[in-house]
Amino acid sequence: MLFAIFFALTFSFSTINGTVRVEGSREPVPYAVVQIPELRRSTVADERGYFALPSIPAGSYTVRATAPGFLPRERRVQVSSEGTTAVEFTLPQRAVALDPIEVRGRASEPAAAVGPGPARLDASVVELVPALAEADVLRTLQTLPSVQASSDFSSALYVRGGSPDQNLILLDGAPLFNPFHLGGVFAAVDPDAIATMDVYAGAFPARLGGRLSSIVELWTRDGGRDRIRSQGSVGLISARASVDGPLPGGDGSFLLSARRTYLDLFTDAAAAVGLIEKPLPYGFTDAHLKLTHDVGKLGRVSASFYTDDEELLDYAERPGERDDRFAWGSRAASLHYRQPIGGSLLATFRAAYSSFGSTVDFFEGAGAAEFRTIDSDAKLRDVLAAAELTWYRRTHEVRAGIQADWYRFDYDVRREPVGFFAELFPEFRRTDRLQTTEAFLEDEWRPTDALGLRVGVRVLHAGEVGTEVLPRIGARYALTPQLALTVGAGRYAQALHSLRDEESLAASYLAYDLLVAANRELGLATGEDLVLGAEWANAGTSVRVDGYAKRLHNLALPPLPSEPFEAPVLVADGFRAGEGSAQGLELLARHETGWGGIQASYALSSADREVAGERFTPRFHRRHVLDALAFRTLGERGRLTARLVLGSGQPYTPVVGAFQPLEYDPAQGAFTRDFRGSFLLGEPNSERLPGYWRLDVGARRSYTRRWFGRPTTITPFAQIVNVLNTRNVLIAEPTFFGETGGNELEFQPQLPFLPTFGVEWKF
Amino acid sequence: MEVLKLLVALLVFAAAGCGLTRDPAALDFDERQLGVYSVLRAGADTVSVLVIRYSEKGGSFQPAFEPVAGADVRIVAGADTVRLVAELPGFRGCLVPPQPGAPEFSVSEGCYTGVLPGGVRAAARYELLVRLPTGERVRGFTQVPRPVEIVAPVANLELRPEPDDAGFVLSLRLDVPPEAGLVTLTVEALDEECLVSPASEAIGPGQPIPLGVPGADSVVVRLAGASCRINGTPVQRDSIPARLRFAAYDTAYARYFMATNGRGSVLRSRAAAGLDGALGVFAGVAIADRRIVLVPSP
Repeated sequence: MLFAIFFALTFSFSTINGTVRVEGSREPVPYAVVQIPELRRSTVADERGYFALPSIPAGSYTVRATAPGFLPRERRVQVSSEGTTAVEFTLPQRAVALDPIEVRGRASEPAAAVGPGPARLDASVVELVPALAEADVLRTLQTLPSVQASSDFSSALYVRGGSPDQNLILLDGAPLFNPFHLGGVFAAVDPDAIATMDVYAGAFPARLGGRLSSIVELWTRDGGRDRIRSQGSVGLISARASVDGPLPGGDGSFLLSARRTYLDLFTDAAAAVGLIEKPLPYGFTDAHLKLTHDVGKLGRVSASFYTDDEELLDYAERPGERDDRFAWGSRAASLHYRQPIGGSLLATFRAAYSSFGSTVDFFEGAGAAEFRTIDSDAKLRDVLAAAELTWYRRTHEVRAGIQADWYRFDYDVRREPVGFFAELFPEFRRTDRLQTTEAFLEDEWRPTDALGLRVGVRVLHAGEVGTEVLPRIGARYALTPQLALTVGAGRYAQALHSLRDEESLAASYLAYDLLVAANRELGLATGEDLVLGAEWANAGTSVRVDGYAKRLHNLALPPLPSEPFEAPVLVADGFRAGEGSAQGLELLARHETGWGGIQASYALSSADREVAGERFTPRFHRRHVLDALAFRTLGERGRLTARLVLGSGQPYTPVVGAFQPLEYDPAQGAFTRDFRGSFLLGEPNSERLPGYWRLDVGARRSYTRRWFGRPTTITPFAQIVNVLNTRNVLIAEPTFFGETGGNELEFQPQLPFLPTFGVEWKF
Repeated sequence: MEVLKLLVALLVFAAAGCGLTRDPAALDFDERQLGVYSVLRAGADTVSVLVIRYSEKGGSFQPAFEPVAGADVRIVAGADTVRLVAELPGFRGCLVPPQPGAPEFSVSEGCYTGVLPGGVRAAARYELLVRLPTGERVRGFTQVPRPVEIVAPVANLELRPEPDDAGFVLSLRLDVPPEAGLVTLTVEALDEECLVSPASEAIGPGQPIPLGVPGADSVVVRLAGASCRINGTPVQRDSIPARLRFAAYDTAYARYFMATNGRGSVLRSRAAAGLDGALGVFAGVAIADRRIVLVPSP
């Protein structure tokens, strides 16, 4: 019925719609601004470059498309009294390509989002962030003020006081459970495949849901449609390559990227010639394939496939013994179909599959005496189908959609009851199946050029676990051409929770998250937030300030461990309904000049959790974080980059005394004591570690040669993480009989000075 | 030039930041923690309360506390209040060595004992009041649980080792009272020359094996074996009588046990259960015994 009304109304007005593409490669230009100056009408294209300007009176108009990094283009368009006029823009890229920090838009221009919008990063920013061995998409997101890192070792995202299980990371619309390599040291997403990264840290629009703290949308490139292109990198521990080009017929494109480490090959060779005693049989790979094809004039279908794997073997030392093995991996696939219907309607359909699996097998003994010290299998799966309809009106953009997810989580963790693994893992078996259905309706209304309002509602139904109605609002008002105010608020719900204990010290080293379905007793976790913001921009400079307050309810949390220093990172049961809150002030400033650019973010925040009657600050939280990213061009081909991170210390639980607990012996009817002392710990996380700071630097220079008739760019690069070797503190752990012979608090360090180098190529 | 200035500024800033690096910090504690320990055992006539003061240093392999003398210690049972006295003549004391033969450690001054009229009753509530000469006060409550009912094994069951000589498998079925928060099992050979070893290396012979709160289903406990020695020489026995001692503790002791057992450090909020004003525990326990016979492999 609703669809029929939409359809009837669609043909009452003329619409200009189309796609904004890059000149040459014809890849989409995301979030381009399309304007009709004579009518003072404008809109913002979506992440795939699609735009629609409905309710256009008959006549001849100049239509203009602009986007940062591109030269603007205008076209004269003749619009009839009815129907749809399709326009394709191809924007030439600006000659200077060394400006990854873009200052987008002015307050008077239409914003892609009404209300506090996402933090949007172009993929080119990834190469600005001096990397720990590998260019890292997720660590690039950690430069945003809303996002904190728990440690140097983890690329997991902690958004506005939320834990990583409260983030939904979507790669071309497919959720990724654990897109990490090496336990989380770096992201398993090839940066060469990424086009844009959007981080919604709060006040999400109703079209987004499923998590409490953030939605991270990673959109990959389509690939060029004019010729084959290739780029890649050879680094210290791995090499990556991508190739893209047109599909036969010219109406489509493909992108294939892959990465593999060669640590294992190096160490195998070194062991073979006797340089080292034992090889390190560790390897990881990740790969991505995307196929895009036009359907009619403006419709398109795309299929995206993602995989990552890693394996660590510990070779058996004696004949007859079996190798110990750790293996993890993810798979994701998504299918998108987008079809404009009659100009004012846009229908999109999405189907996706995502899985993460891990296997851990450790053995002791040989032959008949062999037994497994741990035998663990985990598999997480999500199959989803979604449909969305957008109705473009002169001042309204109405969206409605529905999504169904089928989750399945299987765990089978067995281990020896005593010993090393008993300290790390609980023994448990469980299978969770959960089906959720979500639906939303939202209207974005722009009554004037200066004012935009967004009102929507989302409903999450998770069967017996519960149903939540989730209203969302947002507004944006441009006070002056440079200055806009934003406000947004919403309610959120989540049907999954983590088995990780974020208060375990091991959580600082390990980013992997194992999820399960919320059970009926605990119900859905919910949250609400309020975000007030201001955005100021002029030529070359933009500043965004957001203040937020967030409350979280019914979080499935393990009670605080009695002994945080030995608490296992994985908790199988005993979850309680917890509460959380966070509030803060964030600033993101970007400035570009003729010689370089800077992005500076600062966050002042507080966060807490309450579970089982105990309130505490989560261990990952830093009250102040300043993250400054700068680059300086050296001529037309060189660039120096630097990243400075300053942060106040993370919380830890202080030692307040010595203690020796006594144990009752029922056989003797009295207490006994052994000779092991204990430290007595004070209020959980009530003190702070020393402040954190780290300076990373990088340098790169490009050389262009003509190879095989094509210009080929070779870019050697060198990067140093923690160039001043600041020994930042990760953990403060008490110890009996320390270096001085007495009881001491020892500080475990974060990453030391770590250089990396390599060569990138592009043709 | 601007780049140079920027680099110099960063280096100056970096040099200032080097002070953030810290060597290990010595831990000195100003506060000497008070500890109070008492478990009321159902059926016992006497009760005891241990009052100690932990030293500032503490740590492994050193006496970490000393007894506190001169305390006013009372147990309130309904309308009756019993004032405990230090070192009741003939009483074993509050603190015993973990195993027979281990070095004795006397805290008689800090051990307050007394006789409750009618003894300690299961399912009854008791209050603990401690007042120190320093003015510190400690108050605790407990409800002594009822003992478990042992459904299996039956009395005098003859238990033989598994065929692959993987030790004894003891199948237990217990009816646990709802007020119990923890059940432990101690397996003791009734002959002094013999020892029964749990399968877990972390638990020594004669030490309690925590069972949690077993449900209606049977619980399996593995015993590594039973052996006897006379003057250090192994001797073979056809059968070794043993006592299964099931201790049902209240929830306070369960919390205390879970928080402190085998821990290198403990949150202060978890280091006290069943009482306020001191570390330690005030709890109740009820014991149920069953005799079985272990028949070792020939």
